Amino acid sequence: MHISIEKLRAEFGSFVALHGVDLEVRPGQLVTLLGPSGCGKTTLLRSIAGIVHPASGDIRFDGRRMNDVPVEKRNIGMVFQTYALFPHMTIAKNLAFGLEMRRTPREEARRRIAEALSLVELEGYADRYPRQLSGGQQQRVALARAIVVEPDVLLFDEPLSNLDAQLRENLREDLKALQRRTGITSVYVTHDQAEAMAIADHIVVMRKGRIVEQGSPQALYRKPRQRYVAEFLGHTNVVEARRQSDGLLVLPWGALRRPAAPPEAPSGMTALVSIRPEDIHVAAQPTPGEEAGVIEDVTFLGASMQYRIRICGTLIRANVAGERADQFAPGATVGVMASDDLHVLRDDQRDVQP
Amino acid sequence: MTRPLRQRLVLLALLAPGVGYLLVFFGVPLARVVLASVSSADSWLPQFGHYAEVLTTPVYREGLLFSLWLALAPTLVAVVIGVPLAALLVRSYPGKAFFGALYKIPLVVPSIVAAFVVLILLDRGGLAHRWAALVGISLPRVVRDPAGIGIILASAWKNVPFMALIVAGSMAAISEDLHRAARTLGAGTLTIFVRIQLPLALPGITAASLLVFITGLGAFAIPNLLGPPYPLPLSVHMYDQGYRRGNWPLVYAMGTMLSVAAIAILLAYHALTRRTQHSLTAGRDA
Repeated sequence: MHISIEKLRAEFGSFVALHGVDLEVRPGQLVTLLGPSGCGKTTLLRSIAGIVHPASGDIRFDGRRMNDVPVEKRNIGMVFQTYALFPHMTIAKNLAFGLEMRRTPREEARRRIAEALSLVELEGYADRYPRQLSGGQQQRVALARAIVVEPDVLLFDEPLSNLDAQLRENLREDLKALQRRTGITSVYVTHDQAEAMAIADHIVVMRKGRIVEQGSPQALYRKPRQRYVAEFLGHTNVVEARRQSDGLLVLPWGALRRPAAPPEAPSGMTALVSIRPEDIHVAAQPTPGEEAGVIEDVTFLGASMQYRIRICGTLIRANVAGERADQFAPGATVGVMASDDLHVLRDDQRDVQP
Repeated sequence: MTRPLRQRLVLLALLAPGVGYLLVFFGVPLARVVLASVSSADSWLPQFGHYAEVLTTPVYREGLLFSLWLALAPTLVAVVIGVPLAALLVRSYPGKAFFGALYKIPLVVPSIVAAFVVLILLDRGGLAHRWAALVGISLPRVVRDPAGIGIILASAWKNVPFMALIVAGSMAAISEDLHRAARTLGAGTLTIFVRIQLPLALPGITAASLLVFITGLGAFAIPNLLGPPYPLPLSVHMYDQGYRRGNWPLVYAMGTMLSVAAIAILLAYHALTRRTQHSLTAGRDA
């Protein structure tokens, strides 16, 4: 199912939740809508579900206009943050609900319920009630209930946000594997950037009712165009670099580096550069001709060590992994090394209207 | 258990205001009523003659059945109208605040006034009969009729908003996500009402039904005004036997029987809700 959204605008009273959003979701894709609360991601998801009625714009499933099709006729499966299982029905009855609405023959329904329960590894739980299950199990039931009806579109509304960290990661992998296996076109809302990167084929970053930037997780992480996106996905250091006439960039501590692509700023002007903490190398001595920095703070992160380094008035974060990670203590004087192919950001102000 | 005496006294002192109040103002009168219904001047042994009299005299036996009917019928009407009304009340629609205030009006009208409203509207020679007569229709008799239709109407008019108010509270507590989940699975409004809202609001529906039933069992003003000459409900017999004939032991026996009926309904309610609660919480992990 191909989902196509054009100039979608949604309003709640005088509040505009979506300012004319365009979005394409290709068949079989898992697209994540990512952003802070109030960015419009849930409103967009609910518009696709039919729970929210847009003020203007079009929603199409395979070219068919869906705006006036009621929720119950859209053939969608939805998974909620609150699980939303029917508390007075057993697990089997919860799964049977959607099949009964579709008048699936009894024998076929029984077979499909058993299949769906085995898909989420809850075979023995058919006769239990939702409250007898843990949160993670309940959410797997909710997932089984959504896919047992063989929906055209799967919608996820922050499905993992009520679960604890370990369980969240496990379930996230299960969910991704299940989506790949069934190939159901999916839209997934989350405010958690790590979750979005782990699960999505395509991430759509939203802010204040607009799409800021979209792309594959790798592209958005490595080559974001905007500072907002660079800072929202993972951690990064955004520093101002001055452009020389030969096209090289001068970092604040005097290092000369080549940009990955020529910046838009004319020579002599500054450009914003994003350097990921894991791309920074910490040396015992600065390169001759460059300023030294001082380590302010060291944080042990398990897999790596994070150094906060004060250098020429800016604070740089560097993540060092491996044997040499423990080399420096707070107060030590160090050199900061960044590699070539610096990633230059576009100026936020030109892209994002308030 | 060898708890120090001091501790026991403190416990008794703490319990005294609540338990003592119940004992003095509820337990003692009730016990007196029961005792008076079985005592006689001739013997110190309990005598059940007054109970036998109620059950064997046709006037009283039919009065007891009529009392149960006047409790049951308005309850059924209140459920059939009040519960769907509650489902409508929890939806959002234009004019919700206005209608939300409007439907509660019968709650603040005293029952005696409700009885007069029915009398003025539906008695022979009342407004409805005169208007129907204009177009040549003769309405059936509903006031002072043997089936107690007028009583049931007045009582239901009072109790439908009460039922709706309590059930709407139960329905409002059902998560919005449950409605959304049901709709995405293909359920329309009616299916959601029958399969989701009704079972989840059942504790509210049974509690409200219970209150309506017990109110109907002891109602006096409405049946006295709108009821037929025969049968009379026990409440009216009690007034008549007590104040006109001074036959108090019989009055107490009737009162005890109505109380026993109410308590039996209450126990059935607890058994029923315990079972449904059990299905929701059984085996739940701590």
